[in-house]
Amino acid sequence: MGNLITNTQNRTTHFDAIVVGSGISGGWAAKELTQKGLKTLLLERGRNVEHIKDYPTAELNPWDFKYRMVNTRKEDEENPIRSNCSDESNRQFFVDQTQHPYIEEQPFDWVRSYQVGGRSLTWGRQCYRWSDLDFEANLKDGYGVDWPIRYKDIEPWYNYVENFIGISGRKENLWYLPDGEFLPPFDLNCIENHLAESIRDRYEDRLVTIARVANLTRGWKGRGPCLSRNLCGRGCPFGGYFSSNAATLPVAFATGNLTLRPFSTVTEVLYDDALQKATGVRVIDTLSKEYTDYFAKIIFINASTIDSAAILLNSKSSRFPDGLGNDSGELGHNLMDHHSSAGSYGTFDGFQDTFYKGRRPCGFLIPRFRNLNGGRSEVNFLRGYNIQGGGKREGWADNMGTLEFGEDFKKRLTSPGPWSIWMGGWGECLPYHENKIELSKTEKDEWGMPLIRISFSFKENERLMMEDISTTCAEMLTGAGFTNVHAFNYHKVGGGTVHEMGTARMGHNPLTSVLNAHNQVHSVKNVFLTDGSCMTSSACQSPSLTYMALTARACNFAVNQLKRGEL
Amino acid sequence: MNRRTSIRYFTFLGALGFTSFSFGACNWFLKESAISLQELPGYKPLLAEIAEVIIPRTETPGAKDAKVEDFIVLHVMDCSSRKDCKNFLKGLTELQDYTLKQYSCDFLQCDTHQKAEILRHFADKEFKEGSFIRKVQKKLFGNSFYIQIHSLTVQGYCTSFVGATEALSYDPIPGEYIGCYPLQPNQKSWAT
Repeated sequence: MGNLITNTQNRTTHFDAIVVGSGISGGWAAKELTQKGLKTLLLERGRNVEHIKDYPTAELNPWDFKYRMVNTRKEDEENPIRSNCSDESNRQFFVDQTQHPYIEEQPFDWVRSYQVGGRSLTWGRQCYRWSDLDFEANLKDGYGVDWPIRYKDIEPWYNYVENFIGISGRKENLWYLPDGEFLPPFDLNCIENHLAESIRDRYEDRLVTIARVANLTRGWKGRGPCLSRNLCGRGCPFGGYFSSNAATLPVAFATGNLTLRPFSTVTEVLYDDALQKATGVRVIDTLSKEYTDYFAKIIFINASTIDSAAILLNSKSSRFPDGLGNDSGELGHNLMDHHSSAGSYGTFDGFQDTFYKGRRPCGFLIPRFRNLNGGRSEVNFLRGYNIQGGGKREGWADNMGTLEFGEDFKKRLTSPGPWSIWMGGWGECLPYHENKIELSKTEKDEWGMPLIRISFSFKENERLMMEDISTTCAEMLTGAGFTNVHAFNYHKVGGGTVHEMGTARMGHNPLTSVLNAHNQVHSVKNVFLTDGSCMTSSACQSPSLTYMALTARACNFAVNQLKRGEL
Repeated sequence: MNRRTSIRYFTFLGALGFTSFSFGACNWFLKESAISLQELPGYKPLLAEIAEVIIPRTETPGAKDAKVEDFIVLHVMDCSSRKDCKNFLKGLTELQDYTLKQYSCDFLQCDTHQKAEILRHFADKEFKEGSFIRKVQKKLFGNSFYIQIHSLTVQGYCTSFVGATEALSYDPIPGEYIGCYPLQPNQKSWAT
């Protein structure tokens, strides 16, 4: 078995490979590299989270929580971003903002999870492949730079990672949303089936399918199945969904090649001018605040989009005065996040004799239907969105603060209410050079690391897309016979979808991009970035599956290069 | 309440970054109220009676059985926004004053019918405005006493052991999801 380093054990500082970050892509890098026989050091800035053992809230009932999962005034005040995305049932998996400050040029909700497993513990688990509609988009409309890869390059790696992850879903045979080999799909419920039929009858270009999610509808590789509790964000004691903790890290440990060092923040990548290579990384122990240098032949930076770019920006040398691999000046730029603010809601009279059982850990998906021919073929914005949603019968939470009370009210409160559907668009964000992160020249955190300054805003294209989403969702609901149809826009700020991407983009040209087609830093061949930072555009699909496929692909490439003596 | 309103309400309860003050500041703001925040636990018997009017004991347990008053007090003291705290304490005083004026007794001494009449008075007052005005009022002044006690009673009850397991249907480990399931006789809503 592999090692877990505490502060005093294990003085080894030389490895074959170093992976920085243990989230969804770092976990994959650790798995792939250790399985290929490389002695690998996995560095994680947060605490260790052991699968099952460290999920203390996983089996608690609502009444077991002191505040019944409502955040306190103090929590709201001190940690507004954490309180927006968590409560006492899963707060332990999100960072305390007071310990990890950053600078917002415009409001930006940077949701972080510094722990072994990172945000793979709390992710939304939606897994969608990209297609050449997405990989060719930048080239065709001129925003950003061209992706250096196409679907055929990544397709085998989608197959490869999906086979390990286990993704439930339904094949739909759409060229722009390729199928995978899915586990059995979750059911659509009655109202969702009704919407699906209505949309099939009314629109040639649209369909409703069940979400494709990394929740296991049957046992898979010793994990799961998912028991439809829908409490994923607390950590799943049944291994019902994919996380680093449940899936990749146990495999990496089992090789005997993995060394995991928690409480280890990488401050910089060490670069040797003579060798023209990175030699290792400098780590500050977050508890003792002591520095240690670790050395390896190859380095994977998977610290998450914003932190990975920050590490490179902080890695200065005479060769790279503006940050490691930053010849292009694009490092830290082109930050993207999906928007997921706009949509519609409606209720439906009917199907009163039907209900559902269990809590499905996902909703439905209406795949992208705008601009499938590229450009602005039918609307006044570029690119597109997919729609995610869910149908339910209204329950007690929909009866809070109403006019009624007493016995009749109690009966209504405890009986299934009308059917309703909520649905919203997850939309592509264009890569804008001015959406960026930088390092503060003056302000530092508790560990002496420069604070990250984030400048990000959605712009006209995203605004126009959101307008279309609201009205289009409302039209589809109205057309399907829904009443009380209400179009909304929550106006979430950047970061709100927690799909940050793009700060070290891939590209053909070292003058305009940071990484090449193999996620290799153009000018420092033994450093790889395979988290969201590598993304050249954002498409509208949830991105984690693509990070995982790119990671496995890059690991394969790196090990082959290493064997050939080219790294 | 539609999903959006309920999301907004939860957001309001849950993400009060812009209105939240520390306990001390909240108290300072409230010092002119007849009841101070620290005195609120003393009002549990009254709050329990009001909550029982909203969710009475029938063939299933009521708000008092679920000890909803404990949740209400804890929530107002530790979780509610500054505006909501103020409205709640002020509303509680108003309800007592109104009861005394109308029925010449304490709320606890009123009969079931009178208690319902009193609550009806506050509910009607709340809903006499259209939804748009109410939305604006909520934004500017926070949630009214009536809205808060109604919401907290529902929430406290439905997340309690007896509420979730006896009045609602609680299924901690469903095992699977069945999308279309025939409604059973006397079908209860899912607790979670």
